[in-house]
Amino acid sequence: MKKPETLEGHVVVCGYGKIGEKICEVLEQSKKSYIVIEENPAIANLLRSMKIKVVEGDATHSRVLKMALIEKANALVTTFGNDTNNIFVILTARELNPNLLIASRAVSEEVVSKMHRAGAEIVVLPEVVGGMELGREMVKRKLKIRSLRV
Amino acid sequence: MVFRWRLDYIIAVIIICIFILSALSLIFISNIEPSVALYWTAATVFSVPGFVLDVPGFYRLGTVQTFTFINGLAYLILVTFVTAKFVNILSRIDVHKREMKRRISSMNEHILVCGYGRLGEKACEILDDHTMGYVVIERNPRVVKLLRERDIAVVEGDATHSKVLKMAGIERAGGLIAALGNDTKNVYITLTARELNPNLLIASRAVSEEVVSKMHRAGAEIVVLPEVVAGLELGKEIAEGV
Repeated sequence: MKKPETLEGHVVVCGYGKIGEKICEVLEQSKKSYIVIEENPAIANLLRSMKIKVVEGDATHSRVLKMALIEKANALVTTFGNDTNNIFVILTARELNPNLLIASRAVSEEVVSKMHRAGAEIVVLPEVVGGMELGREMVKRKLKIRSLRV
Repeated sequence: MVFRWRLDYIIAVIIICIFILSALSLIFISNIEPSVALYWTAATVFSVPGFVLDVPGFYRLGTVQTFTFINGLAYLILVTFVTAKFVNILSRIDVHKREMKRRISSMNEHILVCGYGRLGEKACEILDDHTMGYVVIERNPRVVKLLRERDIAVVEGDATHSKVLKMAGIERAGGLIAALGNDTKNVYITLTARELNPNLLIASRAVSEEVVSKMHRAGAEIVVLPEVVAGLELGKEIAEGV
Protein backbone atom coordinates (compact mmCIF):
# COMPACT_ATOMS: atom_id res chain seq x y z
CA MET A 1 0.00 0.00 0.00
CA LYS A 2 1.32 3.42 -0.91
CA LYS A 3 1.53 5.86 1.90
CA PRO A 4 0.00 9.17 0.86
CA GLU A 5 2.88 11.35 2.03
CA THR A 6 1.72 14.49 0.32
CA LEU A 7 -1.46 15.07 2.26
CA GLU A 8 -1.84 17.96 4.63
CA GLY A 9 -4.86 19.74 6.06
CA HIS A 10 -7.03 16.91 4.80
CA VAL A 11 -10.13 15.20 6.22
CA VAL A 12 -9.97 11.63 7.50
CA VAL A 13 -13.20 9.72 6.85
CA CYS A 14 -13.47 6.51 8.91
CA GLY A 15 -15.79 3.95 7.34
CA TYR A 16 -17.18 4.07 3.82
CA GLY A 17 -20.78 3.02 4.20
CA LYS A 18 -23.79 5.03 3.08
CA ILE A 19 -22.89 7.92 5.34
CA GLY A 20 -19.20 7.87 4.50
CA GLU A 21 -20.05 7.87 0.82
CA LYS A 22 -22.23 10.97 1.19
CA ILE A 23 -19.57 12.76 3.20
CA CYS A 24 -17.00 12.04 0.51
CA GLU A 25 -19.39 13.38 -2.13
CA VAL A 26 -19.79 16.63 -0.23
CA LEU A 27 -16.04 16.93 0.36
CA GLU A 28 -15.44 16.26 -3.32
CA GLN A 29 -17.86 19.01 -4.26
CA SER A 30 -16.25 21.52 -1.93
CA LYS A 31 -12.82 20.48 -3.25
CA LYS A 32 -11.38 19.33 0.07
CA SER A 33 -8.72 16.67 0.13
CA TYR A 34 -9.70 13.61 2.11
CA ILE A 35 -8.62 10.07 2.87
CA VAL A 36 -10.85 7.11 3.70
CA ILE A 37 -10.07 4.43 6.28
CA GLU A 38 -11.95 1.27 5.42
CA GLU A 39 -11.65 -2.22 6.83
CA ASN A 40 -13.39 -4.13 4.08
CA PRO A 41 -10.82 -5.04 1.39
CA ALA A 42 -13.44 -5.19 -1.37
CA ILE A 43 -14.58 -1.64 -0.66
CA ALA A 44 -10.98 -0.47 -0.28
CA ASN A 45 -10.16 -1.88 -3.72
CA LEU A 46 -13.22 -0.23 -5.19
CA LEU A 47 -12.13 3.10 -3.72
CA ARG A 48 -8.63 2.68 -5.11
CA SER A 49 -10.09 2.03 -8.53
CA MET A 50 -12.11 5.22 -8.12
CA LYS A 51 -8.84 7.08 -7.41
CA ILE A 52 -9.90 7.89 -3.88
CA LYS A 53 -7.12 7.81 -1.30
CA VAL A 54 -7.71 4.96 1.08
CA VAL A 55 -6.03 3.25 4.03
CA GLU A 56 -7.11 -0.32 4.53
CA GLY A 57 -7.46 -1.19 8.19
CA ASP A 58 -9.33 -0.80 11.46
CA ALA A 59 -9.66 2.88 12.35
CA THR A 60 -9.70 2.13 16.08
CA HIS A 61 -5.97 1.36 15.87
CA SER A 62 -3.78 4.42 16.26
CA ARG A 63 -1.33 2.97 13.74
CA VAL A 64 -3.97 2.98 11.06
CA LEU A 65 -4.93 6.54 11.95
CA LYS A 66 -1.28 7.53 11.73
CA MET A 67 -1.11 5.89 8.31
CA ALA A 68 -3.87 8.28 7.28
CA LEU A 69 -1.56 11.08 8.48
CA ILE A 70 -3.85 12.14 11.29
CA GLU A 71 -1.17 14.42 12.75
CA LYS A 72 -1.33 16.62 9.67
CA ALA A 73 -5.07 16.36 9.15
CA ASN A 74 -7.53 19.14 9.84
CA ALA A 75 -10.62 17.07 10.52
CA LEU A 76 -11.87 13.56 11.15
CA VAL A 77 -15.31 12.01 10.66
CA THR A 78 -16.22 8.61 12.06
CA THR A 79 -19.30 6.98 10.59
CA PHE A 80 -19.41 3.51 12.10
CA GLY A 81 -22.74 2.01 13.06
CA ASN A 82 -21.26 1.11 16.42
CA ASP A 83 -21.12 3.76 19.12
CA THR A 84 -18.25 2.21 21.07
CA ASN A 85 -16.09 2.07 17.95
CA ASN A 86 -16.88 5.69 17.16
CA ILE A 87 -16.00 6.83 20.69
CA PHE A 88 -12.78 4.89 20.57
CA VAL A 89 -11.79 6.50 17.29
CA ILE A 90 -12.64 9.94 18.67
CA LEU A 91 -10.50 9.39 21.76
CA THR A 92 -7.56 8.05 19.79
CA ALA A 93 -7.74 10.83 17.22
CA ARG A 94 -7.99 13.51 19.89
CA GLU A 95 -4.88 12.11 21.56
CA LEU A 96 -2.92 12.05 18.32
CA ASN A 97 -3.94 15.51 17.19
CA PRO A 98 -5.42 18.02 19.66
CA ASN A 99 -6.26 20.56 16.95
CA LEU A 100 -8.46 18.21 14.95
CA LEU A 101 -12.08 19.05 14.14
CA ILE A 102 -13.90 15.82 14.94
CA ALA A 103 -17.39 14.89 13.76
CA SER A 104 -19.10 11.62 14.57
CA ARG A 105 -22.18 9.62 13.83
CA ALA A 106 -24.05 8.36 16.87
CA VAL A 107 -26.66 5.63 16.98
CA SER A 108 -27.99 6.09 20.48
CA GLU A 109 -28.96 9.36 22.10
CA GLU A 110 -27.32 8.50 25.41
CA VAL A 111 -23.93 8.42 23.79
CA VAL A 112 -23.98 12.02 22.51
CA SER A 113 -22.73 13.59 25.75
CA LYS A 114 -20.04 10.94 25.98
CA MET A 115 -18.89 11.72 22.47
CA HIS A 116 -18.68 15.40 23.24
CA ARG A 117 -16.69 14.62 26.35
CA ALA A 118 -14.43 12.31 24.33
CA GLY A 119 -13.62 15.22 22.06
CA ALA A 120 -16.11 15.32 19.21
CA GLU A 121 -17.26 18.79 18.13
CA ILE A 122 -20.08 17.60 15.88
CA VAL A 123 -22.36 14.64 16.59
CA VAL A 124 -25.11 13.56 14.21
CA LEU A 125 -27.79 10.93 14.95
CA PRO A 126 -29.13 9.61 11.64
CA GLU A 127 -31.59 7.10 13.09
CA VAL A 128 -33.00 9.49 15.65
CA VAL A 129 -33.27 12.35 13.17
CA GLY A 130 -34.80 10.05 10.56
CA GLY A 131 -37.31 8.63 13.02
CA MET A 132 -38.34 12.09 14.15
CA GLU A 133 -38.69 13.21 10.58
CA LEU A 134 -40.87 10.24 9.67
CA GLY A 135 -43.03 10.75 12.74
CA ARG A 136 -43.37 14.50 12.20
CA GLU A 137 -44.23 14.21 8.52
CA MET A 138 -46.84 11.59 9.36
CA VAL A 139 -48.37 13.74 12.08
CA LYS A 140 -48.30 16.89 9.96
CA ARG A 141 -50.10 15.34 7.01
CA LYS A 142 -52.54 13.45 9.18
CA LEU A 143 -53.47 16.62 11.02
CA LYS A 144 -53.89 18.42 7.69
CA ILE A 145 -56.19 15.69 6.42
CA ARG A 146 -58.14 15.80 9.65
CA SER A 147 -58.62 19.57 9.44
CA LEU A 148 -59.68 19.27 5.78
CA ARG A 149 -62.36 16.79 6.77
CA VAL A 150 -63.65 19.09 9.49
CA MET B 1 -35.82 -39.59 14.59
CA VAL B 2 -33.39 -40.03 17.43
CA PHE B 3 -34.90 -41.28 20.64
CA ARG B 4 -34.34 -38.95 23.58
CA TRP B 5 -34.97 -39.62 27.24
CA ARG B 6 -37.64 -37.06 27.78
CA LEU B 7 -39.34 -36.75 31.14
CA ASP B 8 -42.65 -37.91 29.66
CA TYR B 9 -41.16 -41.22 28.59
CA ILE B 10 -39.33 -41.78 31.88
CA ILE B 11 -42.49 -41.23 33.88
CA ALA B 12 -44.56 -43.43 31.58
CA VAL B 13 -41.99 -46.22 31.91
CA ILE B 14 -41.91 -45.92 35.71
CA ILE B 15 -45.68 -46.12 35.99
CA ILE B 16 -45.97 -49.04 33.58
CA CYS B 17 -43.20 -50.88 35.46
CA ILE B 18 -44.94 -50.36 38.80
CA PHE B 19 -48.21 -51.50 37.27
CA ILE B 20 -46.74 -54.72 35.83
CA LEU B 21 -44.67 -55.43 38.96
CA SER B 22 -47.67 -55.00 41.19
CA ALA B 23 -49.96 -57.21 39.10
CA LEU B 24 -47.36 -59.94 38.62
CA SER B 25 -46.33 -60.12 42.27
CA LEU B 26 -49.98 -60.34 43.36
CA ILE B 27 -50.60 -63.12 40.86
CA PHE B 28 -47.48 -65.17 41.46
CA ILE B 29 -46.49 -64.47 45.08
CA SER B 30 -49.89 -64.21 46.70
CA ASN B 31 -51.77 -66.47 44.22
CA ILE B 32 -54.56 -64.01 43.60
CA GLU B 33 -56.73 -64.37 40.51
CA PRO B 34 -55.26 -62.35 37.56
CA SER B 35 -58.47 -60.41 36.95
CA VAL B 36 -58.68 -59.34 40.59
CA ALA B 37 -54.97 -58.48 40.69
CA LEU B 38 -55.20 -56.31 37.56
CA TYR B 39 -58.38 -54.66 38.80
CA TRP B 40 -56.91 -53.84 42.19
CA THR B 41 -53.65 -52.55 40.68
CA ALA B 42 -55.47 -50.32 38.24
CA ALA B 43 -57.73 -49.05 40.99
CA THR B 44 -54.81 -48.13 43.26
CA VAL B 45 -52.57 -46.64 40.58
CA PHE B 46 -55.38 -44.45 39.23
CA SER B 47 -56.81 -44.09 42.74
CA VAL B 48 -60.46 -44.99 42.31
CA PRO B 49 -62.20 -43.59 45.40
CA GLY B 50 -64.37 -45.74 47.67
CA PHE B 51 -63.00 -48.93 46.29
CA VAL B 52 -62.91 -52.06 48.56
CA LEU B 53 -62.25 -55.59 47.31
CA ASP B 54 -64.41 -58.39 48.70
CA VAL B 55 -61.72 -61.04 48.93
CA PRO B 56 -61.23 -62.70 52.37
CA GLY B 57 -57.89 -61.82 53.98
CA PHE B 58 -56.85 -59.73 50.96
CA TYR B 59 -55.72 -56.61 52.79
CA ARG B 60 -53.66 -58.61 55.27
CA LEU B 61 -51.35 -59.96 52.52
CA GLY B 62 -47.79 -58.58 52.64
CA THR B 63 -47.64 -57.95 48.90
CA VAL B 64 -50.91 -56.05 48.94
CA GLN B 65 -49.74 -53.83 51.78
CA THR B 66 -46.42 -53.10 50.07
CA PHE B 67 -48.02 -52.36 46.75
CA THR B 68 -50.71 -50.18 48.25
CA PHE B 69 -47.87 -47.90 49.19
CA ILE B 70 -45.94 -48.21 45.89
CA ASN B 71 -49.05 -47.77 43.76
CA GLY B 72 -49.95 -44.72 45.80
CA LEU B 73 -46.57 -43.33 44.92
CA ALA B 74 -47.16 -44.02 41.23
CA TYR B 75 -50.48 -42.22 41.51
CA LEU B 76 -48.77 -39.24 43.08
CA ILE B 77 -46.24 -39.05 40.24
CA LEU B 78 -49.01 -39.36 37.67
CA VAL B 79 -51.14 -36.61 39.18
CA THR B 80 -48.18 -34.25 39.52
CA PHE B 81 -47.14 -34.81 35.95
CA VAL B 82 -50.61 -34.47 34.47
CA THR B 83 -51.16 -31.24 36.41
CA ALA B 84 -47.85 -29.86 35.20
CA LYS B 85 -48.73 -30.70 31.61
CA PHE B 86 -52.12 -29.11 31.98
CA VAL B 87 -50.69 -25.91 33.39
CA ASN B 88 -48.15 -25.87 30.56
CA ILE B 89 -50.87 -26.16 27.94
CA LEU B 90 -52.92 -23.44 29.62
CA SER B 91 -49.95 -21.09 29.74
CA ARG B 92 -49.36 -21.55 26.03
CA ILE B 93 -52.70 -20.02 25.17
CA ASP B 94 -51.63 -16.57 24.00
CA VAL B 95 -53.38 -14.14 26.29
CA HIS B 96 -51.47 -11.19 24.84
CA LYS B 97 -52.54 -12.00 21.31
CA ARG B 98 -56.23 -12.11 22.22
CA GLU B 99 -56.03 -8.95 24.26
CA MET B 100 -54.13 -7.18 21.46
CA LYS B 101 -56.72 -8.31 18.94
CA ARG B 102 -59.44 -6.73 21.02
CA ARG B 103 -57.41 -3.56 21.52
CA ILE B 104 -56.57 -3.19 17.83
CA SER B 105 -60.13 -3.90 16.72
CA SER B 106 -61.23 -0.85 18.72
CA MET B 107 -58.69 1.37 16.95
CA ASN B 108 -59.50 3.52 13.98
CA GLU B 109 -57.40 5.79 11.78
CA HIS B 110 -54.33 4.61 13.65
CA ILE B 111 -50.74 4.49 12.39
CA LEU B 112 -48.86 1.24 11.80
CA VAL B 113 -45.17 1.44 12.65
CA CYS B 114 -43.23 -1.42 11.05
CA GLY B 115 -39.99 -2.11 12.89
CA TYR B 116 -39.12 -0.78 16.33
CA GLY B 117 -35.44 0.08 16.03
CA ARG B 118 -34.00 3.48 16.85
CA LEU B 119 -35.94 4.97 13.98
CA GLY B 120 -39.26 3.37 14.84
CA GLU B 121 -38.82 4.31 18.48
CA LYS B 122 -38.34 7.99 17.63
CA ALA B 123 -41.29 7.97 15.25
CA CYS B 124 -43.45 6.44 17.99
CA GLU B 125 -42.31 9.11 20.43
CA ILE B 126 -43.45 11.81 18.02
CA LEU B 127 -46.79 10.07 17.50
CA ASP B 128 -47.14 9.82 21.27
CA ASP B 129 -46.53 13.54 21.63
CA HIS B 130 -49.44 14.22 19.28
CA THR B 131 -51.64 11.59 20.94
CA MET B 132 -52.06 9.60 17.77
CA GLY B 133 -52.90 5.93 18.18
CA TYR B 134 -50.39 3.54 16.73
CA VAL B 135 -49.63 -0.18 16.48
CA VAL B 136 -46.07 -1.43 16.26
CA ILE B 137 -45.24 -4.46 14.13
CA GLU B 138 -42.03 -6.06 15.33
CA ARG B 139 -40.39 -9.38 14.63
CA ASN B 140 -37.99 -9.62 17.56
CA PRO B 141 -39.75 -11.32 20.50
CA ARG B 142 -37.56 -9.55 23.04
CA VAL B 143 -38.52 -6.14 21.71
CA VAL B 144 -42.17 -7.23 21.61
CA LYS B 145 -41.98 -8.17 25.28
CA LEU B 146 -40.48 -4.79 26.13
CA LEU B 147 -43.26 -3.01 24.23
CA ARG B 148 -45.92 -5.02 26.05
CA GLU B 149 -44.37 -3.96 29.33
CA ARG B 150 -44.64 -0.34 28.21
CA ASP B 151 -48.28 -0.96 27.28
CA ILE B 152 -47.73 -0.17 23.61
CA ALA B 153 -50.00 -1.95 21.12
CA VAL B 154 -47.81 -4.43 19.27
CA VAL B 155 -48.22 -7.25 16.76
CA GLU B 156 -45.46 -9.82 16.68
CA GLY B 157 -44.51 -10.85 13.17
CA ASP B 158 -42.94 -9.97 9.85
CA ALA B 159 -44.48 -6.79 8.44
CA THR B 160 -43.90 -8.00 4.87
CA HIS B 161 -46.68 -10.56 5.35
CA SER B 162 -50.11 -9.20 4.54
CA LYS B 163 -51.57 -11.39 7.29
CA VAL B 164 -49.55 -9.55 9.89
CA LEU B 165 -50.54 -6.17 8.46
CA LYS B 166 -54.18 -7.23 8.56
CA MET B 167 -53.75 -8.31 12.16
CA ALA B 168 -52.60 -4.77 12.93
CA GLY B 169 -55.83 -3.49 11.37
CA ILE B 170 -54.46 -2.01 8.17
CA GLU B 171 -57.92 -1.77 6.60
CA ARG B 172 -58.99 0.75 9.23
CA ALA B 173 -55.58 2.43 9.60
CA GLY B 174 -54.82 6.01 8.63
CA GLY B 175 -51.10 5.71 8.01
CA LEU B 176 -48.11 3.41 7.88
CA ILE B 177 -44.44 4.01 8.66
CA ALA B 178 -42.02 1.47 7.20
CA ALA B 179 -38.95 1.88 9.38
CA LEU B 180 -36.97 -1.26 8.61
CA GLY B 181 -33.30 -0.92 7.72
CA ASN B 182 -33.74 -2.90 4.52
CA ASP B 183 -34.86 -1.16 1.33
CA THR B 184 -36.32 -4.21 -0.37
CA LYS B 185 -38.44 -5.00 2.67
CA ASN B 186 -39.64 -1.43 2.99
CA VAL B 187 -40.63 -1.36 -0.68
CA TYR B 188 -42.42 -4.65 -0.26
CA ILE B 189 -44.30 -3.41 2.79
CA THR B 190 -45.26 -0.24 0.92
CA LEU B 191 -46.63 -2.26 -2.00
CA THR B 192 -48.55 -4.65 0.22
CA ALA B 193 -49.98 -1.87 2.36
CA ARG B 194 -51.06 0.15 -0.68
CA GLU B 195 -52.86 -2.89 -2.03
CA LEU B 196 -54.64 -3.56 1.24
CA ASN B 197 -55.68 0.04 1.85
CA PRO B 198 -55.61 2.57 -1.02
CA ASN B 199 -56.33 5.53 1.28
CA LEU B 200 -53.36 4.92 3.53
CA LEU B 201 -50.72 7.60 4.06
CA ILE B 202 -47.44 5.73 3.70
CA ALA B 203 -44.07 6.97 4.94
CA SER B 204 -40.97 4.90 4.39
CA ARG B 205 -37.36 4.93 5.37
CA ALA B 206 -34.85 4.48 2.56
CA VAL B 207 -31.19 3.62 2.92
CA SER B 208 -30.10 4.12 -0.66
CA GLU B 209 -30.98 7.06 -2.89
CA GLU B 210 -31.76 4.90 -5.91
CA VAL B 211 -34.68 3.35 -4.14
CA VAL B 212 -36.53 6.62 -3.52
CA SER B 213 -38.24 6.72 -6.93
CA LYS B 214 -39.17 3.06 -6.58
CA MET B 215 -40.72 3.74 -3.20
CA HIS B 216 -42.76 6.60 -4.58
CA ARG B 217 -43.92 4.39 -7.43
CA ALA B 218 -44.76 1.63 -4.95
CA GLY B 219 -47.08 4.06 -3.20
CA ALA B 220 -45.13 5.87 -0.49
CA GLU B 221 -46.03 9.55 -0.03
CA ILE B 222 -43.14 10.32 2.30
CA VAL B 223 -39.61 8.93 1.91
CA VAL B 224 -36.87 9.78 4.40
CA LEU B 225 -33.19 8.93 3.95
CA PRO B 226 -31.56 9.08 7.38
CA GLU B 227 -28.11 7.91 6.29
CA VAL B 228 -27.94 10.20 3.26
CA VAL B 229 -29.20 13.18 5.24
CA ALA B 230 -26.71 12.50 8.03
CA GLY B 231 -23.87 12.04 5.56
CA LEU B 232 -24.67 15.34 3.86
CA GLU B 233 -24.94 17.08 7.21
CA LEU B 234 -21.64 15.71 8.48
CA GLY B 235 -19.92 16.47 5.18
CA LYS B 236 -21.19 20.05 5.13
CA GLU B 237 -20.21 20.73 8.73
CA ILE B 238 -16.73 19.39 8.11
CA ALA B 239 -16.32 21.18 4.78
CA GLU B 240 -17.34 24.46 6.42
CA GLY B 241 -15.22 23.87 9.49
CA VAL B 242 -11.99 22.98 7.72
